[in-house]
Amino acid sequence: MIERLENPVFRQSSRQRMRGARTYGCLLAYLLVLGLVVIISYDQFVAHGVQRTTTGLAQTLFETLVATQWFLVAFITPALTTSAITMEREQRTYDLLIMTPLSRFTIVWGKFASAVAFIVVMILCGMPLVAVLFLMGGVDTGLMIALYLGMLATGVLLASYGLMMSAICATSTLANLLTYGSLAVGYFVGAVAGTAFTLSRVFGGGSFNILWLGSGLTPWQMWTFSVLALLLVSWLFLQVASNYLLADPRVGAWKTRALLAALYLLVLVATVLDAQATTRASASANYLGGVLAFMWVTVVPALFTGVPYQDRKWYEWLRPGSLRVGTVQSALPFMCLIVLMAIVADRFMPALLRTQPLVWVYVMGYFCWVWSLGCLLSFAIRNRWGALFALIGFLAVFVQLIYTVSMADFGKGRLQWLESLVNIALPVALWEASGKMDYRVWVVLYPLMTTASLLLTGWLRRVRKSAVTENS
Amino acid sequence: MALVETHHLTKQYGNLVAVNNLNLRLEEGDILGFIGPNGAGKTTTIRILATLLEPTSGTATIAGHDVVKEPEAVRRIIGYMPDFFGVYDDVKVWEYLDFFACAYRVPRSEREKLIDDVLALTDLSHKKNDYVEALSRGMKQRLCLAKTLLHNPQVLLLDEPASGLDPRARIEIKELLKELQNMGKTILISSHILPELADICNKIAIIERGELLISGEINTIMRQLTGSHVLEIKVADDEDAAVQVLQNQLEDIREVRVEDGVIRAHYVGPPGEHYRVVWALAEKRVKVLSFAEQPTDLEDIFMRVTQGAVQ
Ligand SMILES: Nc1ncnc2c1ncn2[C@@H]1O[C@H](COP(=O)(O)OP(=O)(O)OP(=O)(O)O)[C@@H](O)[C@H]1O
Ligand SMILES: [Mg+2]
Repeated sequence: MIERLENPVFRQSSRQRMRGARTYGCLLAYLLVLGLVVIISYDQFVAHGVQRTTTGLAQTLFETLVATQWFLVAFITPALTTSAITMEREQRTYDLLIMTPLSRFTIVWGKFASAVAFIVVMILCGMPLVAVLFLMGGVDTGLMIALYLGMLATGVLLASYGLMMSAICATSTLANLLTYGSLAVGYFVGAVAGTAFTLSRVFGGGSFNILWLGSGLTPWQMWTFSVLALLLVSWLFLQVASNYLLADPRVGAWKTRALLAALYLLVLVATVLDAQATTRASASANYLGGVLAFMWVTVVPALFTGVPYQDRKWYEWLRPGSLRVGTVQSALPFMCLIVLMAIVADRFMPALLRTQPLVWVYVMGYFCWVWSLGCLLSFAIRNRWGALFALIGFLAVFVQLIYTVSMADFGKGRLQWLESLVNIALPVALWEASGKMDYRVWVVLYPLMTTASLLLTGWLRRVRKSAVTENS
Repeated sequence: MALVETHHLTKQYGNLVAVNNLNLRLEEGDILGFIGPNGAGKTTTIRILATLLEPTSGTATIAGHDVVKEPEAVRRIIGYMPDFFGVYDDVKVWEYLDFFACAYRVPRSEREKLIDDVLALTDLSHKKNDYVEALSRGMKQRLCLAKTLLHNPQVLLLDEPASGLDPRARIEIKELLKELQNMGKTILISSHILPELADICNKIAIIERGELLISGEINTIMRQLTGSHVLEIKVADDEDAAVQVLQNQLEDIREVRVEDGVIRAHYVGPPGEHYRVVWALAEKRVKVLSFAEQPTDLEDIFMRVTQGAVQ
């Protein structure tokens, strides 16, 4: 039994890591930075008299230490995994590894676990410093545990993200560039969004108040949901990584979709619990429909066009087992599943926040439209990444354009009809707008637009077929 | 049952046909020499058999398992040694083998002995505790072979195992292959040149630009090559009489044809004794003007390929 759990990849990569001189250089640098930060801030705090009591000083120093450590862990962690798989390719050890009976997930898991083990080592190496501050008093044990668990969780998330990039990219250089690049953009966007959110709260504005998720949850519930969501996302990254170890990443796509559905379920449960506990007057109807649609805008393109189109007759998709074929087309049942989950979850919402049945028709219509657009694009653009970015870009520009225009005040008050156009690609404002905006139009329009996209795809297919036969 | 079988196997890279309509068959215990010049498609074929590449069309099976549909089953049966491969840094020889033994689910208690066995077989026992990257090229090659043998595969796919080795090491590899042959393994081994393989293989297949030129039992092919020559005979007149003589009076002559006044006849008798044909003709007073021996197509191909001169 224990032998079956034995993971040679874990042992191998840990051994390699602990033998490399680079690892010790890295650890040393990390400890030096930590030590320096503590010493310098101690010096500064004492010199400027920021904190007079020893406990207060220890507390401030502890916070500084944790922040620094957190930053360093976040900075170093991706580097632990970004070359995990690309190195195998570059060193030409990949084929021999992939030929073994180890499952793809075992390989990915081994690499991941080895990185996480190193993060634990890094965190533990900083512990003597914490112990000193702890002895000075003023460090709350509960807080400390929560903070370090959070740090570990950040490490887990980033390690799995780096591993996914490593599996997708062809070279280590590219993997590093993309990982750190996207993280930098992510941190920046997150910081901007966070600031905007905070400001809008401070100045009483409600425009960023889209997701009031969390205000009705206890801190413990909040913590549990965050950790669960984080683990699910990490798992998702690892799953994508192992899909990419196959010659054809489509094979494992259905597992990625199932994980996404699980993530949705988690969000739905949290939302329902939150709504049940909240007695906010500002809350509005159609809430769940809105949340679902909002999340869909961001996640769906990746889900849909991340896998290529497959030329089959439509009725062939009705066969059992076609759900496991990871193509754009087979994404539709997963979307239906998610809507179904939302409809069920809606039964548990407080009466005030229930979604009207027609809204579900509307949401479903929207999904179908984005799906058909995904089909069209991934058929037209045969490169998977091209199709993905085309769809995301299209939706983003579309939303931005219409939103900007509709928000502009042309002196005659806001253009109501334009505002309702927002709903084409972003039904976010649904719940706050259900009173004044007429989404019923879209109940009719979306199916029409879906049909148009599908017809266009069919037309393209015929054009391509005749081009092929002419060539041969 | 054929252990390795390909059926109209084809692989295309864009417009380039790397392997075209290949049919191979290896029975249990066969050692097939897979010979061809650079870019012939040897590596491509072997990688398809090793489940690392999907064919464009056609099928390949290993012990009855389709390489595309049942890659897991195939991987358990085969041991694949790539033409180029790397090794991990900072890893010792026994650790390297232990890693793969564990990956192939060899029980922990048996690993130590197994590793010693394969090291002894490949003559690397004295290097057991050395770092892998410090080994010479030939030793790495042997280490890779040792790794390939860990899970006791029935079929070995070896892609140029002897390239880059010095003559002594080549002989050692050959000895090793013979030993494996005695152990009853079925082996497919690729190479640029024939002499390297001639004395260990029982079958050969020659491939050039993706096309299989010759394949079959090495003895049959060798016999055909050494035994069959085309004789070109010109006579002054009365070709029919000459053909009569060739067809009826000589046992060692097959397939007599007349083209543009030249008689072509296949001689299958003992080599170096075709003067008997002239004697027989002279006896019947056939007016022989010229008598020449032409190389066959087969021999032509063979000469080019075995000298590594095909481009
Ligand atoms: N990944 C690839 N992409 C495009 N063409 C390829 C690829 N791999 C191989 N080829 C082409 O396929 C043909 C066959 O290559 P292959 O490596 O099978 O030859 P080989 O017989 O193993 O040659 P060598 O003796 O040099 O190892 C070559 O023309 C090569 O250029
Ligand atoms: Mg080759």
